[in-house]
Amino acid sequence: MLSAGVIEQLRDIVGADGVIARDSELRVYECDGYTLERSTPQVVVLPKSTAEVAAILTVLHSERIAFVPRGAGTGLSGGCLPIDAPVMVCTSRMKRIVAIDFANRRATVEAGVANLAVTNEVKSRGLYYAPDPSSQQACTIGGNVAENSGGPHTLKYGVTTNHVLGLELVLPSGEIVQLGGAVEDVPGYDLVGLTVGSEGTFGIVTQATLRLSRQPESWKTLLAVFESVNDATQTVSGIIAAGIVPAALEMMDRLIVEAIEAAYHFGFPTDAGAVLIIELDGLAAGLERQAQQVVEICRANHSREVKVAKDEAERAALWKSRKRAFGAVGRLAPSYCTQDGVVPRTKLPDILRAITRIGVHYRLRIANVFHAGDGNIHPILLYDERNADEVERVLAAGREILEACVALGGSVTGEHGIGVEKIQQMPLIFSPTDLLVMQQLRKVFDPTLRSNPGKIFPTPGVCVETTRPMRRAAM
Amino acid sequence: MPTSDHARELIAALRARFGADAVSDDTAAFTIAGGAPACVVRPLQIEQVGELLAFATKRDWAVIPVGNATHLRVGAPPAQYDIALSLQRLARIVAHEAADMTVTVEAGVTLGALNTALAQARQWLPLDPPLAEQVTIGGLIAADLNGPLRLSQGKVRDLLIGITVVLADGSIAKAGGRVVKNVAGYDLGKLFAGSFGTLGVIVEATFKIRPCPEQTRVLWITTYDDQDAAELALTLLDAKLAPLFVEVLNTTAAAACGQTSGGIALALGGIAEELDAQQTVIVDYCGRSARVCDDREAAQLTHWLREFPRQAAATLTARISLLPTELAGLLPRLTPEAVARGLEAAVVTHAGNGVARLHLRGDEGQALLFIEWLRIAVRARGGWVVFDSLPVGLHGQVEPFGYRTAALTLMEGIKRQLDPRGTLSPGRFVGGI
Repeated sequence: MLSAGVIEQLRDIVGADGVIARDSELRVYECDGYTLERSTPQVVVLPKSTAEVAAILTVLHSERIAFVPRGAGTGLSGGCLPIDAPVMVCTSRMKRIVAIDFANRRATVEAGVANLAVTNEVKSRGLYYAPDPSSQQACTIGGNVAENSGGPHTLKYGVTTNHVLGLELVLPSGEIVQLGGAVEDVPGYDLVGLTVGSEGTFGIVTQATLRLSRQPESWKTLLAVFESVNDATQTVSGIIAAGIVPAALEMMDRLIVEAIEAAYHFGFPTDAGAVLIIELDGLAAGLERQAQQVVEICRANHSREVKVAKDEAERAALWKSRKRAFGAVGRLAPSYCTQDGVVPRTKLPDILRAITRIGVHYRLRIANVFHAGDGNIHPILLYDERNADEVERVLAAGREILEACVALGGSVTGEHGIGVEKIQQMPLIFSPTDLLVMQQLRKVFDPTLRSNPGKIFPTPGVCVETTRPMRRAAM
Repeated sequence: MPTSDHARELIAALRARFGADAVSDDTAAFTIAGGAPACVVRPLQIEQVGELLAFATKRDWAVIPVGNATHLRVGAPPAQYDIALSLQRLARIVAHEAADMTVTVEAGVTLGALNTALAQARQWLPLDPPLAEQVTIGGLIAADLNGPLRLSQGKVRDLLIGITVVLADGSIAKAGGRVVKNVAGYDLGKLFAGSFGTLGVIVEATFKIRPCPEQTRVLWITTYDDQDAAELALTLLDAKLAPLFVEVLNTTAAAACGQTSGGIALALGGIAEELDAQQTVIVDYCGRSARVCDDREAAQLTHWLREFPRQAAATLTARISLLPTELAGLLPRLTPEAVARGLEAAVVTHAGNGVARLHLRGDEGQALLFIEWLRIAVRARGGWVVFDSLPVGLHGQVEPFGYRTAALTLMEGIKRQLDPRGTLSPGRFVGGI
């Protein structure tokens, strides 16, 4: 238990309203978007500045107390689940946009700024922040940096790491360091590149300098309808192989289309096997020809119809449907668990067949909505958390899907992170040496392993029982 | 540098262990700042790289990984240099998955050979460093090499998706994979890109690759002076264009590549409709000062821009990184400051990236004064200067990286973790790492 003295020191730093220690209020922080496991922190601290974060970590350092950083809690792998960490440091009050340099297309923002807030701040000048996770209205830049978040439009424009130039990081010792900077070629090791995606294990990122992108001059958004998932995935391969790099290339299967239709009435054909949302963007000149090429590839793969969004409203509606897909899943089952495997894009038909097979074997309904162009699948496993047996089957099926991804030459996570969810799958893709090297690097930043403990790296000897979640599952 | 006794002993030990044909004492090509290693070792397998490093680390022999030695002058002179570990014989293209647009290669494959192979599928690894034909993939990653194309294609860090390295203790570690999107584990590829062989030996890498543009077109835009060029380039970068590269040449640089005055070289890539539309935009802005280069001139100009950092005649070469607008502000001052010291400065900038490449020619003493001015001027604008090649007379007087920040402590920590005995490229990197 934390001593009253420590909590008092934290109150001195952030003020009484910046410390949450009452049980009823702490429940909000017991999990993120990965709800299968829950654990409540003893105290949540809400700093308002880098200086406060540094002061908090200095106190925790001198008391040798572990902590877990948290943004908006939209993560999908339990990355901010408090494990052996009594203190949660939440950046939700650090919402300042520090500086925007329109001429050089840079924005420096605090960690708690929402992803979409960056774009909203600069869009009147024709700029935007490219990575666009589905949770972009809520998820924070700090969380994006921790998870190296992706999104539908990262196929052409790259994920978070391709758009972060500089970071302000508070080390677990309380020391503030600046990594990288606003200019492109800062001498030295690329510590920004190493820190992005480190899932909060290096300390707490308090500010980020982001590269802004110019909005494309024009775009074409197509909805292609297919009788089968297989035809849709063959189309994806066909588009990539033709040398076309769409801005986004998303697939939704019948189950997810039905859910979206029931929830929002966008007018999707609910009897289709699968639909693709294909967005091409860039200079207006030439887009028409590319779109024509895409339509031909769709037809060659037996598309039932291909609709082109005729205006911005239709385009916005298509994207709204895609980004709300997860929300619509609530109509299908009381709970769901999303996997985040990746396969080489030519292996999409194989992995989808495997998912179908696994779903049948474990008697589970699995909906698919995913970033097809990247080979990044998101099977959504539907279940009822009150059904203990079904929870077990969900966990087993999820593991099997990830194993299938690895067997096809892929990885266990494309954008959600390892967190606690996929710790046990790390050895599928990394040798003990690989993992040792990563842990050696972690020690440089966090020698006593107090920043977000219990994440990413499997602990030897723990969890021999692989059919059960490591911690108390939400039942 | 090794004494002859030391060298003989070392060669004998290595030959006994790795076979006579893997160890050569012909080290002339691998000299760094006048210093030669005792020998060059050319392993045939990744496992041998591990054995060699473990062997050398136990004996405190310093190893510098090398490819075809095209960029060895980059970085600080080594503190110790016993063995050049050449990856030349690890030169297999392991897997080119054309439909996935990924390629896995061993470190000794040259960029030229790789792009020749990829071209059969109309794909490329769009990096264009000097000596692209000879530079090896390992060297490309370790020295973070790039060229004008970085504007549109990014740098090594943006294209590298998987890496295998051998550490100083001989262990083999990998990170990333062969898929284009992957966040499992730390991104070691980023750490090794630009690490100058100080953390481990890169033995294999996987890249995402891109389709070759259907057509390319190069335009030359004549400008009035350096300020005009810098400002016009920023205007063009803000226009409705998607250029492959935008390079600004000052008058000295332009003269060296056969143009009559300074200007902007701009390349377009894509399908014909895209090129035509963009050309119209450019001509609208620039009028008659813009002209389309014919194929021969386009190829020459592109090649010259790529090879510019290698020009042998320069006394020293430097890279300046700033915000693009800051670089545009500094550019007009560079030539007068050089001329005032009796020096000649050729400058080519990657205008959209805020990166300038500078060649200085003239008296070393005056060059030193210019360097001092330059460092202060660039730091004042929030940027960095790195010296890629310095005359021997200035070694010890100019630190190539000039980098001192709190992050250096973390970098030193990383070096200590991965290479605790300082086997790999000692002293070559920032802050003496």
